[in-house]
Amino acid sequence: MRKDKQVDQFLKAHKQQIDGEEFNRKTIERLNYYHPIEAKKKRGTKWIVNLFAFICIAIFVLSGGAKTIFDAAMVVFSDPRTIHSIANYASIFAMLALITGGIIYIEEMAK
Amino acid sequence: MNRIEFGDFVKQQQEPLRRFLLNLSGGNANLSDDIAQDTFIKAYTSLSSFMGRSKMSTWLFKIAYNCFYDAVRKTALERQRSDIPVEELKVIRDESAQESRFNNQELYRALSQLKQEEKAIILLFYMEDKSIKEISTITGMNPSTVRSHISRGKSHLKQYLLTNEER
Repeated sequence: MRKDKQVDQFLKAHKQQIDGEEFNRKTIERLNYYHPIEAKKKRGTKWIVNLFAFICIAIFVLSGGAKTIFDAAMVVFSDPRTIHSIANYASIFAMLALITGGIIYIEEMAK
Repeated sequence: MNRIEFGDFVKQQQEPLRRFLLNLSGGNANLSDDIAQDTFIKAYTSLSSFMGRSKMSTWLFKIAYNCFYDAVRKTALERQRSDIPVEELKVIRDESAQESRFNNQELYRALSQLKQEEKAIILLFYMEDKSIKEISTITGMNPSTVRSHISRGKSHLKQYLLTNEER
């Protein structure tokens, strides 16, 4: 966005120079009484995330989702010629997404 | 960042920050310096929350902007709670402003033509040379809202300057 010349000139002409010696001294003196607060770890929400992740994985495994993906992947990897079926493609993508999601999840938890 | 490094940051940033707050408060040097000092203390104590997504100076201005509007809201609340009529309070406010510097009356008069949001955004854009993205981070407004405030503020200021030239 372009600056308007007239407004810019007016405001720049009135731009104040502020002496900071006294202010700096007082502020730095005040800093001696304070300490940076350490970042709080979000422990409160961590167990909820873990619990839901566990429940989701359990449901997925119990409903046979993992077995289906594993079987489809085994078919694809055992004979590359079978990579023509959409179901096989989908199983590969699902497996890669699961692995990526798992890595991201572990990294987030490690922070 | 340790205390010494933060001290250097204070020295580096105090002038633009105090100037912004001084102009935003209509020349009330005591109020603007109090808010500036509180801003630096707040920034120092919450250094761990600085994620580095913006420049540190932008983050500092964001804290100052929020501190200033907190102070404005607090004053408005106190005004509501007290039984003093608004006219009398205006006199009190004007008296406290009189204690401060009066060497930039023309600027303060021109800025008083603008709404609070317009004033903050015009000052950041023209006087402190902040980009639209930085102003958006500082104020928490959309870049398009920032642009429209700049445009409206600019035309209000131009109108004021034109009227003053004619006199």
